[in-house]
Formats: sequence, C-alpha cells, structure tokens
Amino acid sequence: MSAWRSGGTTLKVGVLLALERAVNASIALDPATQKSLQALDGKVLHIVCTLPSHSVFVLFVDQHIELWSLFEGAADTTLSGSASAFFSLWRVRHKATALAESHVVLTGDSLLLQQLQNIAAHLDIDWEALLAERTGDVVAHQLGRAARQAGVWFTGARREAERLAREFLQFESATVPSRHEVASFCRDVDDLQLRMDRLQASIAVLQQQRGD
Amino acid sequence: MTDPQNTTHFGYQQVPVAEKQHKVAEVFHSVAARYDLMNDLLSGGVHRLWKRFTIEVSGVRAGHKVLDIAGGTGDLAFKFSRLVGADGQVILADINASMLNVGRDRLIDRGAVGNVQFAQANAECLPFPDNTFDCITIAFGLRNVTDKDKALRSMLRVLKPGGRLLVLEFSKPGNPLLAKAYDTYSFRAMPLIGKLVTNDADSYRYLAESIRMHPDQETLKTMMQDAGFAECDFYNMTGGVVALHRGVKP
Repeated sequence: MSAWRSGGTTLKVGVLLALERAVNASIALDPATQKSLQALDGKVLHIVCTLPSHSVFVLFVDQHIELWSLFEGAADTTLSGSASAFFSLWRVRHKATALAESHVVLTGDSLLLQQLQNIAAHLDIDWEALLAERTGDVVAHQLGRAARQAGVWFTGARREAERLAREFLQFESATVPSRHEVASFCRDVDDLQLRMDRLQASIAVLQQQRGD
Repeated sequence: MTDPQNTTHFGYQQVPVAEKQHKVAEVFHSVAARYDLMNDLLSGGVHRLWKRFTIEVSGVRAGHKVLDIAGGTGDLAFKFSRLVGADGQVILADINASMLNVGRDRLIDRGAVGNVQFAQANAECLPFPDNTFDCITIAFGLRNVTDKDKALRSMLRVLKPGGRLLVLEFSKPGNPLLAKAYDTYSFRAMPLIGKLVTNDADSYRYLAESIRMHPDQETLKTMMQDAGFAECDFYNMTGGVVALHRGVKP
C-alpha cells in the first residue's frame, strides 16, 4: 500500500496523550511554573532518541504542553541522543554544564533549553493539594509528611550505599582505584608521553647531525 | 421506477439523489444530542486519537485560516482555535443545523470564542471565496456527502495554493481477520448499542452501511487526484479501520 506512513500511530498518539495529560495535571499544581510556561508560547522542542529510535515534539501552548508524534514544520530546538544519554543529562548535578557533560546533541535555539532548565529547577508541585481533593486536608498532610520522610530516608540510604560500595571496591577489595589515583596515573602517563616526545625529537636531531 | 442514473446510495439502499441529503440530515438530527457519547462508546475513545493525529498532520500555525467541514460537535475546531490564536480564524461548518448547534454550544462552553465562526454549509458548494483557507479538514463527513467529487472540487477552490486538505474517514482494514471482526462489530454491536443508548438502531445501522459503501483508501486518493489535488497520500490508522488522506492545492 502506498500510504505515506503506517502502523503504530494510534498507540503512539494514545501513549503521548496520556503522558501529556499527566504532565499538564502536575503543572497545574504549580501556578508559578504554569505562568513561566507562557514565555515559551508557540515554541517547539523536538526530542530525538536514537536508541531506541523514537521522537516526540513538545509544543508549548497556552501555559501547558502538548506532546505530538508528528509536527509539520521546523522545531525551534532539537535534542538528540540515546536513551542513556538523555538519562545522564537528567541525572547530572551541575545543570549549567549538563549538556556539555552528556552525549546529547543540541541544534537550534539553546535559549529554549535554558528556559526549560530554569523552569524545571524551580518546579514545586503541590502534591498534597492534589491528594487533599480526594482524601481531605488531614490525611493528605499525614501522607505527605510520611512521603517526605521516606524520601529523605531513601536519599540518605542511597548515598550511604554508594559510599560503602565505593569504599569496598577501592579500599577493601582494591578492585578499582580511587579518583585521585586515576588522576595521578593519568598525569604520569601524560608526563611520560611528553618525555618520550622530547626524547624522540632529540634522537631525530642527533640522527640528522650524524647524517650531515 | 427510479432512474438508476439519478440514484445514489444511502447505506445499502439506492435512493434518489435529491433524497439522500434529506435522509442523512434525519440521521444526524436524531443522533446530535448524544453524538459525543456515542462516538466514545462505539470507538472506545479512540476517535479522539484519530482526531489528534489529524491536528498533528495539519501543519496549522498561529494566524492560519482553517475550515472544519462536517465539524459536528467541534472537536477539531476547538483544537484549531487554540493553535491559530487571536490572529487566526476557524470556521466550523456543518450542513446539519442540529449538529452545528451542539458544536457551537460546546465551543462556547469551552471558551473557544473570538476566533471561531459557524456556518451551515453544504460541502458540495462551499459559500466562501476562492483561495481563502490554509487548511480544510473533514472528519467522518465525506461518506455522507452525496456528490463527493463535487465536494472535493469545492474544497480545492476555497483552499489557498499550498493549503492542505485532510480527510479523516472510515476505510478498509488491510488485515482479513481484523476486517471480519470489524464487520461483526459494526453490524451486530453498533446497532445494538445505538438501540440501548439512543433508542435508534437504524441510524447506527446506516453508519455501518455507509462505511462499507465509502471508497477505499486507494480509490479516495485517486478521487482527490482527479479533483486536482497534488501530493495526495493517506495514512492508515488502527489497521486501516480509519484512514487520513492528505492533498495539497498546487
């Protein structure tokens, strides 16, 4: 059949629509973010995942976002990279250098990405308000407090687990070197490289003189 | 005896050409009040995804003029009104006054005012000047039009050069198993649901029959080319149960 494309469209549109509704429902809980999105009105961000192969267009319309499977036009900004590169971009701690540290490639208007990073950094969703609509204020507050305490505990536990794993691997089993040891080793290799270059140059000069 | 030259199909029946418009109008007067509910029930809500994809393919931008023919209850017109913004214009057109009233009320209730206008219009002779619109959509409406070729020519006339026509319509599933299941659903379940919800099985029997009488993907594409559209192609959705045809005015 000579259809210009076919297959999987309905499913993809459905998934994106469900995701879009969830994101917009979350944004609606933070009026400041909603207001910030107004500055992006009419902008289009194209996210291209190379592995696995998927793409999605994020449109900013009327203080909310729309996730489209197809966009007949040029996006203002395109971000492309593998799923792991996007994940590392999301995980990176220093937002100012996040893009440079990741393997995500940006083309087009970088200001849009900066604006989005700013909005994401100040995102403060009031989950308790959403919960309170269904459970009432008291239950929502108790659940919120429990969730916050669990969050703090999990963050601490994760950091502690990372520290213990690092210490075990570096000091007890000596399976991997520490960051400082690696840095020192790299400096030594660089130094050796420079010495070798100088030695090679000296030999070349001596050979030249002997030949003359 | 009816002259076969002057008859057309109304579902599986042959009726005089002059009568089809009246009969289709009766069907839509009957279903207008519960049109959205029935669409959701019969398609399981999937009609919203088909329409969403149509919006994505439309290429409509701020400032554009859009005509939504057979716009019914205004699903597409509502989305277009947000995309074209204050500088654009959306015209929701329908031949059926009952559907147009429901659509107008719904759009006003949802706050789509200012850039939306309403027109009771026949797709075969659109009451607009030549080269007016950037985009024309007709969703689940073309199969009810008596003279489809004339309607396509009329749409071509009012489109601006470079403007695009999008026809979203039921079509022919490519997979024989899906086609069989779809037939069973259309002729058994749809009239039954129509009977239970709206006490009107006949309108939904007509719906199933009119879908079967509608041209398949390739035929409609050829009809669009014959009408003068360029870059004609189609996009199958849900296994070909629905197809989105696109054509551009050269």
